Amino acid sequence: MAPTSPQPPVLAGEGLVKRYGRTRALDGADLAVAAGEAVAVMGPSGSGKTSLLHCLAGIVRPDAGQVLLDGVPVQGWSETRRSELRRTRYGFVFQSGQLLGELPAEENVALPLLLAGVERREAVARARAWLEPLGLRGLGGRRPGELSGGQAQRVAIARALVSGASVVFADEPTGALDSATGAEVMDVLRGATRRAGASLVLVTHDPAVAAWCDRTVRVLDGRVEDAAPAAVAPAAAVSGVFR
Amino acid sequence: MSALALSWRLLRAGGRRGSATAVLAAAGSAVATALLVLVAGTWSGFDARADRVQWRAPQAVAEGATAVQRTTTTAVDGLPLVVVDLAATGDGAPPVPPGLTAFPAPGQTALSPALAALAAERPELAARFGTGTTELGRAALAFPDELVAVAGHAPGDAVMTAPAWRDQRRPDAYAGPAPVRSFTGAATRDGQAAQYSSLALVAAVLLVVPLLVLCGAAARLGLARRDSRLAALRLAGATPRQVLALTAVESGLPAAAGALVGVLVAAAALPLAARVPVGGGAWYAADLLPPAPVVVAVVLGVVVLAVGSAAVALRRVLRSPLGVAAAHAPRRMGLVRLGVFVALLAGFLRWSDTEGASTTGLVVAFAAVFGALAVVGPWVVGVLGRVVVARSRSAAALLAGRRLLDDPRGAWRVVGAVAMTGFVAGVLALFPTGGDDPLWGRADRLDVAVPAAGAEAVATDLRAALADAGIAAEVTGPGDERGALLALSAGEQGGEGARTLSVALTGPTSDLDAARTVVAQVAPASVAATGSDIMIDQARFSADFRTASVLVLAVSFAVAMASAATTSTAEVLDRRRTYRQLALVGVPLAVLDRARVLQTQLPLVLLAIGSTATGVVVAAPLTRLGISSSGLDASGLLLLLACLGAGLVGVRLASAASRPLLARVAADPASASE
Repeated sequence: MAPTSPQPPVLAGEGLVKRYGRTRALDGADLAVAAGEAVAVMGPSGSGKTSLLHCLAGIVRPDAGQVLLDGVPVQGWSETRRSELRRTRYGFVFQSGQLLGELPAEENVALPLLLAGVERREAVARARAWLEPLGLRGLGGRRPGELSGGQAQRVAIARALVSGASVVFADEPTGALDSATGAEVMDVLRGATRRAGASLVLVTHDPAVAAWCDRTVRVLDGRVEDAAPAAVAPAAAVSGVFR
Repeated sequence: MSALALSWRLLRAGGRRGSATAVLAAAGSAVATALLVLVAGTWSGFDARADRVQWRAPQAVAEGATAVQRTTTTAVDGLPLVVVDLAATGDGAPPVPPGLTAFPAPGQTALSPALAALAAERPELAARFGTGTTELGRAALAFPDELVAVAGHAPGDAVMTAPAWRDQRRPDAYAGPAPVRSFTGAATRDGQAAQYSSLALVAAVLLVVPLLVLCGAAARLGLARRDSRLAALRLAGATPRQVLALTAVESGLPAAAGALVGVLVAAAALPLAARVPVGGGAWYAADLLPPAPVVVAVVLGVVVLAVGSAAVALRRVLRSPLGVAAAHAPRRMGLVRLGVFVALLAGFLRWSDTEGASTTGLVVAFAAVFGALAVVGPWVVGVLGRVVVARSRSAAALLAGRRLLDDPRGAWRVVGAVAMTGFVAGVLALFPTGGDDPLWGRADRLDVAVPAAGAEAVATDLRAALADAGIAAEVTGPGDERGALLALSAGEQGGEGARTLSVALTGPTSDLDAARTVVAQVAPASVAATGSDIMIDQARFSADFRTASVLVLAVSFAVAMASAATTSTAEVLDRRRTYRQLALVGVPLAVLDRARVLQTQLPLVLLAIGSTATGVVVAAPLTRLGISSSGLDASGLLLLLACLGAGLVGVRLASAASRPLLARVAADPASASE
């Protein structure tokens, strides 16, 4: 039985199994994410957190089980369709290195729009509109190498949300940052997804980061073990950029 | 741990990717070394040929002569035939000429194997030279198929007392008779030989520059990985000197291994290369062996270049441990690059216009302009990048433009060699392919230079002998020396004037060789030539020039393809993390690929056209190096267009070659976030 949430799930994984060689990374994992909900996925190293995220996000196909997006099974889709899904419905924030070094920040953000065929001028304008509230006013012309780690993660967040993603997947988004900067980034991430009405699936091993989410699930030996009660958002969450 | 041991450890620990990079780098060095050794071999091959034919030009001595020597050049089947007539004076034992075991006795003839084979089939040749009582050894031959006859005479024979003829248009064609004491000869570096030297030099320059680009590209393979690893070593406390040593070992080892393999490859390819006919025929393979010091220099040069190229690329790491970790804004390519190019080009054009500019100097300046393309190339790429970024509408075009702007040097490395080939094509297109029509006289008329005394009698004898031999020909003359086809001057020592007879065939032109035989028998002291004979060398040089052009183009083209393919492979490997991440966020492979294609095709088109134009401009003065120019003719234009088309398709194929790798990298997005 998948851990449930009060609203109908926008995204659900049911009985997910994923093997890598003889290793069973996922062994019947279930997870449902409601619209607008933020779920933290925790667990020890090698427990299957990232595999769960990859299966839910359509990056890899599960060997068994199904992934439902708005109730539609998508796990069997071709790589081309899943690729389009990732581009149009999902957003991604990783620990680091996801930005293109040769593109300035605003063009990095505009990339998904350009790929969707939006005219360049408009794409860049929309990207700028995302950068400003994220505290990056005036930095749109800088290249990732000229930004601090926290600034680069904010650019990544803007990119994840710019084309109207329903679900944002974040894999250790603060892993490369100090705790103060990490808190800032989480504040922005949580606020931005909330403002966009997007759900958030966040993989982390840091309880302080998990605490920014509505609830926390634990993965152990390839299964989602329990559904922790919805965490109370720390004060910073409501005092942040997005109130 | 020494730098060597540590490098070896790192190289081995690098796993498959590390060793793949090392193998690619070694392969690049191997190709470059093999070609450089072969080019050097061609150079020494011309020297070796020249050394063996030197003795044919008699070294006249005032006293102490033991023999009389005369060398004339005639033709058969449109091929030059060299005849060396020798007679012992009787004053002491004459030395043995090269290729023979003894000095030829009167009436004795030695033929080169090719001439002997021909004489066996042609009665008229057999009548003139016999079927060869002795075989002329290779010590006397420039190349295996050369047609040479060495004939022994008595010192009083008409041949040995004939006037010393000379044709200003062909300084090497006639020499002697002259009293000689030895057969060492003198280096003849004028006329045809000088043309071939110029040709070899220009070809060498045209080949060496793209090869250097390939060497550099090979040495920079896997740079991104090495960059970050060495930066990590710097952070771990390695001194700049240690990092430099590591770099030297790491890039030098594969380069050295590759260079050694390249020498072996060149040795293996030697018999094949020897079959390419240049200067009249295929080579003796041994002639193409460059001297050992040259081979050593090539190997060392390739290694030094690889190490230097890698070291220059690592300057950032050396300056600061954080140099790589923190990427900088792209440095704009300075206008100074354009300045250098323009200055060198202007200097070349101005100098080439100067009276009496030395050939060597001109070739050096030419090489400088060629090399300057590599200086201005990245600047052009940078400018192009700015334009593309400003005008791009699609994600792929934007990505391509940003990359050009971000790393103009990297983009240049992919397309540079092909652009250089454009330059080569531009240079070659302007050189004429040459016509076969004689500029003087006629192809079916033998003009015969005879001593003035007795010229009338010779004409009468010739008419009778030709009629006896059943050859339909009209003999006119003797005319006076002025207006004679053969611009021959009477020999000083003979003091006799010359007259010209004309033997115009009225029957089939296949009688020409028979007519030559009759002329040689009736008037042994004469020399005879048709208008085509005079053009033989010219025509042969034109043909060789065509062969060399095609070879140089083919080789530099292959090198360019190799550069483009290795560099675009390296690019995918170096950016694999980025490509994975992009695939992961849903960027279609087609967009990534289109960006890659634009990133190479756009600069390629621009640079290829620019460098081809430069080649045409630069070639114009060079055509004065004894090679007549007819301007850009239809065949040259065709050559140009073919090269440009092939270049575009070739680079497209080269980047297509790395597409499967890109697909593999992108197909595994899961590992990107690890």
